[in-house]
Amino acid sequence: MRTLKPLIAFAAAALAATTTLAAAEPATATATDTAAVSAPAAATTPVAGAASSRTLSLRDLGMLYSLKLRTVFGQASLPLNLRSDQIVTGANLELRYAHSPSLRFDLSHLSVYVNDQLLRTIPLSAESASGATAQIPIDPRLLLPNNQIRFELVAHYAKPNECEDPAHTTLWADISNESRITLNFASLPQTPKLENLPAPLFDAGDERRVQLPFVFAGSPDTTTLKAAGVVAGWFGAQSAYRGADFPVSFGPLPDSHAVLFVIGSGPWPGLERLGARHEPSVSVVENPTSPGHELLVFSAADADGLVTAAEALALGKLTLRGSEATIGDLQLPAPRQPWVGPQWIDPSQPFRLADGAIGPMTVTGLMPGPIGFEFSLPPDLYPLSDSSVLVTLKYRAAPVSAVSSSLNVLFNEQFIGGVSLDRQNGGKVVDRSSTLKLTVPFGLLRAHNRLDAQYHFRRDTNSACQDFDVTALQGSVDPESTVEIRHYAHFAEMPALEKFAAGGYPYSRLSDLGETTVVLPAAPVEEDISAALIALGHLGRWTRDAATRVSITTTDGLASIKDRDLLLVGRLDRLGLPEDWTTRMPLRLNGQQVELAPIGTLRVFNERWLRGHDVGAAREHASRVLVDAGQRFAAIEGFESPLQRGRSVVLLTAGRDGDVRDAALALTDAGTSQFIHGSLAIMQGSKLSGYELGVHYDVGHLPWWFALRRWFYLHPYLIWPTALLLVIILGSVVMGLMRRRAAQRLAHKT
Amino acid sequence: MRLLVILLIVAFAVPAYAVISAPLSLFWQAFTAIGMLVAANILVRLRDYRWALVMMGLSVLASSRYMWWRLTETLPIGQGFNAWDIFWACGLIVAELYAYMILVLGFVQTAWPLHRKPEPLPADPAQWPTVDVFIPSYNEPLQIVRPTVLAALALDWPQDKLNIYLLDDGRREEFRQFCEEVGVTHLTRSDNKYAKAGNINAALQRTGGEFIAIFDCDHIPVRSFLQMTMGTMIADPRVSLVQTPHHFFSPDPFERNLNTFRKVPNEGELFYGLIQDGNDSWDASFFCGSCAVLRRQTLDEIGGIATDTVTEDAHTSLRMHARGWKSAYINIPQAAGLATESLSAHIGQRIRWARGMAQIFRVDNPMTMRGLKLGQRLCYTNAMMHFFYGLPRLIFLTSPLAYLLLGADIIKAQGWMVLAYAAPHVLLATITNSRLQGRYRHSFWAEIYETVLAPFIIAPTLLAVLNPKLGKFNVTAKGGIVDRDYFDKDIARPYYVLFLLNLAGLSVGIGRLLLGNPHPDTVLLNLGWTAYNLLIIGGALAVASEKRQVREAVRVRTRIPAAIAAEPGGTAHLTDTLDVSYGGAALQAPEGLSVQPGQRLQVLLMPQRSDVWIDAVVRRSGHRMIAVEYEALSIAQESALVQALFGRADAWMQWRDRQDVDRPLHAFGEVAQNGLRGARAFFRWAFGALLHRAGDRAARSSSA
Repeated sequence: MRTLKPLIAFAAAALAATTTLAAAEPATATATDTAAVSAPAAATTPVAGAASSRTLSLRDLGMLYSLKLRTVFGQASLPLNLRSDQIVTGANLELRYAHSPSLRFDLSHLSVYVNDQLLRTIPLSAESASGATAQIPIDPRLLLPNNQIRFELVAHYAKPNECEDPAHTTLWADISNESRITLNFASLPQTPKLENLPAPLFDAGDERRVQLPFVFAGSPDTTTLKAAGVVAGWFGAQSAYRGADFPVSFGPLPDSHAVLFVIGSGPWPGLERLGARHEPSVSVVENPTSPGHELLVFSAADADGLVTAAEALALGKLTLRGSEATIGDLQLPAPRQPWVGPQWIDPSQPFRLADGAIGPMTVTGLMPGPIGFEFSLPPDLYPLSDSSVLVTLKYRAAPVSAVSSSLNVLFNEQFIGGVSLDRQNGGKVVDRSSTLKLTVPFGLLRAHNRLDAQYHFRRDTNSACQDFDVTALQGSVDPESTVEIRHYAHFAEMPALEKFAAGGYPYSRLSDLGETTVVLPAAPVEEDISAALIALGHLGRWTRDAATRVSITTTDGLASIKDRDLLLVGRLDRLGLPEDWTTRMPLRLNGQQVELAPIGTLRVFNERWLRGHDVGAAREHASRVLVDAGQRFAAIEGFESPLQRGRSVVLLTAGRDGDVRDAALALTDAGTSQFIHGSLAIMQGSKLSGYELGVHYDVGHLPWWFALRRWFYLHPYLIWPTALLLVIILGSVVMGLMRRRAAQRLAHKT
Repeated sequence: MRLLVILLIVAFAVPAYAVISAPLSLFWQAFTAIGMLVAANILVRLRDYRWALVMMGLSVLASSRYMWWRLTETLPIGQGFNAWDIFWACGLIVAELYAYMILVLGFVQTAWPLHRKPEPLPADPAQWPTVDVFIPSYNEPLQIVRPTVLAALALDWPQDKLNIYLLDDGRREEFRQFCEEVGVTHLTRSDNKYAKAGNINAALQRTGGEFIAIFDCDHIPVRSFLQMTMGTMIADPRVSLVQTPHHFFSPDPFERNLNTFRKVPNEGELFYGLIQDGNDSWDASFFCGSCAVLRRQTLDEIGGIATDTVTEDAHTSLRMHARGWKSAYINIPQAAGLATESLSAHIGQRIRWARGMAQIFRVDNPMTMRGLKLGQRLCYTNAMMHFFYGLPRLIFLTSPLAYLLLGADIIKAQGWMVLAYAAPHVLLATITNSRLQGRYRHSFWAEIYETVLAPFIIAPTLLAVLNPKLGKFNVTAKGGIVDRDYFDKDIARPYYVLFLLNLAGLSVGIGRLLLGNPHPDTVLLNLGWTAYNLLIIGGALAVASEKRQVREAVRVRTRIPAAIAAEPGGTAHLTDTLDVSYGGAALQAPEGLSVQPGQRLQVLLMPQRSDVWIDAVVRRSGHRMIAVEYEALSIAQESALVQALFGRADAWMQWRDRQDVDRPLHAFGEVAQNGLRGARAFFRWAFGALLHRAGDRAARSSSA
């Protein structure tokens, strides 16, 4: 049992860290309970306290701008989450701040709290006004997996008993988002246990992109790749906004957590026992080449077994107990219906905003933060009228707010409407909610949407000395507030890579990827497979479902694909696509040269005058980028499938000297993915540009009457000739009919 | 056939829907508008009638596109608009919908004027049926009724099969004597219930002819009236009505006051020249109370002339149609009469028509009444809806003021966008109507005709729709001859209120433009609209400036063969008349006859047909012209005069050919000229009235 002791000690320490502040250094803790764990002894050779360190700026914690503290009592807070397989041994906050030089410094100060415990109160002074840095050590015992750091400003410009406007503009302090938190960690070795999944391979406490190598014994076949794809999708769903990178190795184990696929017995020393099984199984073991890291191992007698194991995990059908689970018989659920899933709003009924609230729905104070809501819409939602997306906001604001207080509403950070909170009728009672109805412009809709209700309260400044309590200023949004979607169709003008980058469209339509085929080069290399897995992880983020019906093939098998959307991965020079494919690609290889697909002048004119796209300028810019890049670029292309109308292809590719992984990784980075749009995105270094190049096709169905109107909208020059043609035909027919009628009348027959 | 029509409608409706509803940017809408206008301007030059139908279609498409856009995108609903905006906008949109409906129904109605020719009568007059001629009268002077009766007596029809009845609701002795003298039956009844309708119904009880020809007592038939109309009756036993146009040989108040007599088609000509003829294609020509033949069998079947409404004529034929009887319209003037003499009398008459039509709309709505065919429903509906133009017209005349004076946003759109949508709507309708109606109604004149009547027919029509019994209004007819120029300020009050309002709107609008308005295009659009309204209202003011009527008996400038004899039984000198009236004649002086003023002589009109010499006195002579005044006429002489003046079969045939053809720009020029003239007349009167009042006050204060 000697070897077990430190392990248990660490486990206990982790427990302590999450609950109390009483525990001292992990190494000093002792625990005697040995019954809890029954890990295979051979798998565990933990190394205690592998030390590491990390410095995070407030920007890394999600603060895109400096924190602004205002009024006599300004507050701001931000979250700090920590991985559960590490323990903080030391922490320091380097606080960079600036404040108003016009304060009464004897009455003004700035306080820093961690989890409501005061760390330091910094007195403000004339010297620090233009900017100062304070080093504030943080007691690691204060830190939990999820922490809140809060800043409070108490500021005054008047003497006590003097009149003061609590919202005076001189009352300010800014905390730079360049302020840093330095954390020293000791890793916390754990017994590999299925119960912990997805930790430690993925830890929700880590805000960074997930980095998880996939390891195969040699080049895998497409069935094995499907298993890997299902697992990648599952991790993609877990990692959500963080994104996930899945490097691929054909053999060597990395020095980190990894996912391993074993058929029969693998080549890896120390893992031979996994090969003995016939039934598909999932297990977690210590990484033999890197102690302290874990391997998630899928093993089976054949590749189909691996798929079964992967699907069992992704579907949540696995008994997560101990270090290993085997799968007997797995029943796949019925094929999914389009856009059915908890992440998408069901457009057929009003969506209650309360279900998407990301914080409290009541705010307090002169300058409260926004009341935010988030929800996802199917990316192919196509409104059939200007007022298709209707927000009905029911709100209540405290009656004490003064004239010109207002409530503004932002949709995806764009102002869409607001209401003045003036009470013209002089009412001093608020006993029911008021209603604000807003229509959302079509162009603002994304797959993932955010709606912010922002109260702006004003204080009555006419009577400066009046006793005023900012906490009386309150506003709320009623839970009955809704977003309604009426008159819509499932339709998209393609190619629309922005819908792929945000929303995974068109693949995410069926959350089991039932109409998706991933196509790899005939002989895929590690980068190709990695890019494909990253892309599937990206899709998993949007489907939040097991990709049980995805199919994977190579370019050799293109001919046999029927009725599916294709996700094509591979470097331009290695794809070897037939000519009917290359003619459709917006960016393609002509011999050794990379070129943009040529475009006719009529189409350029059409795009310019009918759709407002300057294709000429886009092509020019893209050409310049390609010339600069040589062959060192990655690209995402969208075009209609040559195999079937109305089916889409997204191609993740690269030039001869580029890496396809860059194209896939661009999807996982919010900084770059926001620029992906149109039919082509070119990534050179860390810069990405999206292009609309003027070739279009439609996906989905519009009601016939709308399709007809849209056709004329897109061909407006045909309206009057059509009208003329119609009436000429009609005129001739009516002429005949009326002549006949007249003859009958005059012959006294009618 | 019916299936084919339905298929056609569906095949047409789908692409039409797309063309109508496709949303466009300003640029492309302007492109479409220009394309349509160019097409219309080419089409209007193609003479084949097929192209007129094509233009109707194009006009309907352009207007539908406009209405679709108005209804789906420009209603001021939502944030930033208040109830006041919505109120004005509702008014305007209702008026626009009304105008659109009238436009489309009008196209349906006049799609195919039938141009029916008279049917020949059987060769053997013994087979001709018996005809009763009814001439109802209530309070008209005998002077007016005499020529009508005399002309009726001279109708070409076997004497034993023709009975003339003067239905005298005034029960006047003078009339009875006259009837006895000329040999027609004087019918009276004990009460005046149901007015004219009751009068005719009473007469129906006491007469027995197979057919009834009805003439208002001031409509003088030409001799060929029955020859022209009865053939159709005999040829088709299901025809229950043959109607002919109402023709007027004296100017109506519009023609007199605007000086357009026989230059611009008058108000009634569109109806009798085109609409009734178009109705005939749909078997929907209706009875207009006079100058028509009715079948007694049908009248018996529907219980006589309808008495529920004040337009018994249209109501009667509606009931005939509902019973499956047919009607026919022969577009050849076969009777003529005097037009209403003063504007107030004219308005009074139109109020009666409007009220009556509104009553029928309530009592026997043609859209829901059993037994009618679709074409008949649409034609009757249009005929009735037409009289609801009062309110829409007022709305059009005041809508820009809501924006200019009150600042209400009544159309939620950019000024240029409104122009791009409205221009093809308005211009195509104008061009198309000019082509269809040009011979019977000049462009823009309808605006004046309607504006003059609009203020007076709103209340009667609306009240009649609410309750058919309500809405009886009397405009006191000044009647008689207008003996001096004057401005009828009572009639004109609504016009000058509108005029002053629009003038205020124009000034405020120009002020806004000069002060820098953020939406100059919207202001300009409304200013243009207001300026147009001012011209139209000016036209109405011009109509209200009554002109002096010269003379007692209307002169008919016409060339009739005549003969002059210096003494009874003396040598007859053949010559021609220059003009003829009921009191005298101007003749070309024949060679070898010299006369002195005061000399008595005899005149024979139409020597080829008549041998009744009329005694006359020379009043003037010279310049190869002799003007004579008749002496007291015997019945025979008067009858001969009536025959010569009014009874010739071709008396009114050429009248329409004399008028100018419509040229929309020219017509607009004329309307504008009249508008300016009316405005001048109004200001002259207004300043005069003000000066007068000031003078009165000064006089009063000085005397005090």
